[in-house]
Amino acid sequence: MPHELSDMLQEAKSDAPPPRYSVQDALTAGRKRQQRRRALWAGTGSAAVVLAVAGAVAVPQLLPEGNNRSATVNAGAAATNTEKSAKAPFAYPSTGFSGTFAEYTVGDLTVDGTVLVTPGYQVASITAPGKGQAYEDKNGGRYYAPNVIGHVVTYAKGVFDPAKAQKDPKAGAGWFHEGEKKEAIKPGVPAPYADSTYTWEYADDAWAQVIVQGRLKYPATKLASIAEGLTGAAEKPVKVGIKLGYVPAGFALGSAGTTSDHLESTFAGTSFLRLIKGDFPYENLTGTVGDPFVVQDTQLPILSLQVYPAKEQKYNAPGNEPYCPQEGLCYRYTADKKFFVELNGGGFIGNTEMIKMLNSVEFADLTDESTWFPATEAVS
Amino acid sequence: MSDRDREFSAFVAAQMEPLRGLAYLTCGDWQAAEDAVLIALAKLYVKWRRIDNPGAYARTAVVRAAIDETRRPWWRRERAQSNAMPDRPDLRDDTNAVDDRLRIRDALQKIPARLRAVLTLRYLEGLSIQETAEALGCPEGTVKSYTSRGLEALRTAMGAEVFVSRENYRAARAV
Repeated sequence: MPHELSDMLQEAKSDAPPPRYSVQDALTAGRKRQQRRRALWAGTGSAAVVLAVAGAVAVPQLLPEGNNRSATVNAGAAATNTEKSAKAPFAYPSTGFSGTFAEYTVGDLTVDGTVLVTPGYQVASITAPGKGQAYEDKNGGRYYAPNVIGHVVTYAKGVFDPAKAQKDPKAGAGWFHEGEKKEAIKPGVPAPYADSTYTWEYADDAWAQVIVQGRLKYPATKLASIAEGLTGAAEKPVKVGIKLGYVPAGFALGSAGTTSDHLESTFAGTSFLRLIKGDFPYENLTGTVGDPFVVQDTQLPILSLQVYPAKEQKYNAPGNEPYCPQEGLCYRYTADKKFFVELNGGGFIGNTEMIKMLNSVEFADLTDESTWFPATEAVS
Repeated sequence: MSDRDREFSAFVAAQMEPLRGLAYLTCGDWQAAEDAVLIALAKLYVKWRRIDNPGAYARTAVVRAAIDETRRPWWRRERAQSNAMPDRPDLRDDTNAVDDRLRIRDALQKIPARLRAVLTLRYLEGLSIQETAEALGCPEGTVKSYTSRGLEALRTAMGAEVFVSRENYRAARAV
């Protein structure tokens, strides 16, 4: 008999025993905790030092050698750009896991260079002044992510399907979609917005998008300026801060960079590697690929490794050996405990295999990108 | 009673029961679940004035504390388990409801706590992927992967089709 999941969950927690704790118990526990903290503070004279670390990741590109997806800027597509004489032309990488974004500014926004590369596209982040997402460490201190407000994505030749984007209003050389307000998650919580996008053909049959958070209400002209500013850099391999000595059979590099496939804001020192078993076809895309990697209704086995600065020490037992607090999720800390790598097996391999992978990890100096490994060498 | 204590007490009175259910589904033991909720609420009390969204904070703290309960060494969990209150039989039941409930609980116990937490947050609490990732302190990709794996594991454990109703999902999100 089919079961509806939320009904199942409701059913599982029904018939609860009478509660052992009352509101007063919670209040008393809170007060006691506060007293203990105050006593600790008075005793030490200072707050505990928060472990804080930074890491940064470089991004490689998965395109095979000699691929025919390379695309150089189409002069016609850039015809609206009248001030590009000093700007380096942009060309899509000719080799796999390399990046070609240059850093450039548009007003107070900065396009930071390549942060993620896949076989189908490369991504650069767009940063605005100010602080990004706030986080709280285990001692109550606040720290902030960079204020990443969006990304520029350049797709390899033939990968992007522009039909959907071309239904949006034309704006200069491209098409603009204003991110619409979505349904509020809960009463009293601000409603989220879809992303705003600007889509244009940067070279013959090669497309690009500027994608920014819709709630920021950037107009089409601003996004078009970012598109027009697209600047190329010499092609260079994307680098990451770890190297794997062991990769389970059949898995190969799928994407790499300083952020994950979900394009989060990340901190200095962060690295990301996605391994995929099987061929994922980068074709007919209308945006970047996060998850799942489904081919003909089948999820391809994927593994992800992400290096984080250990700001929160939120995972138990940061020892010298890899450990798996849960099935499918394992960790290994750097020797100085300032960073850790998280391996997400997603149920595709067992913890024994994951521990074997983590034991084989070689860390670069995560605070010094010059010591990092080209992604293609990190997974071999 | 101070304003903070009054506000906090009102919050606890309204949220204690749903938080208890959330913790139970995550760790699978009512007594451990209640301990996890008490720990989380004590933390919340200390930070009450500095937190914009106490509901989200409490949910996150409860789930993490409940997962921690499942990680405790056996010699620390044994007492809690041996003292756990037995599930009350539903004497009104003359159908298969009790059997179903036990089967569902058994199936949930067969999947790892973190996967249970993801399924509970998404399909009972109605959180988005981003909110679930924030609650668990993990990447959004992990949440997506765990959702997929959790559903698959649940289907296997139940030996039956498990589906997600859009209507229920929306209703959960609107609560």
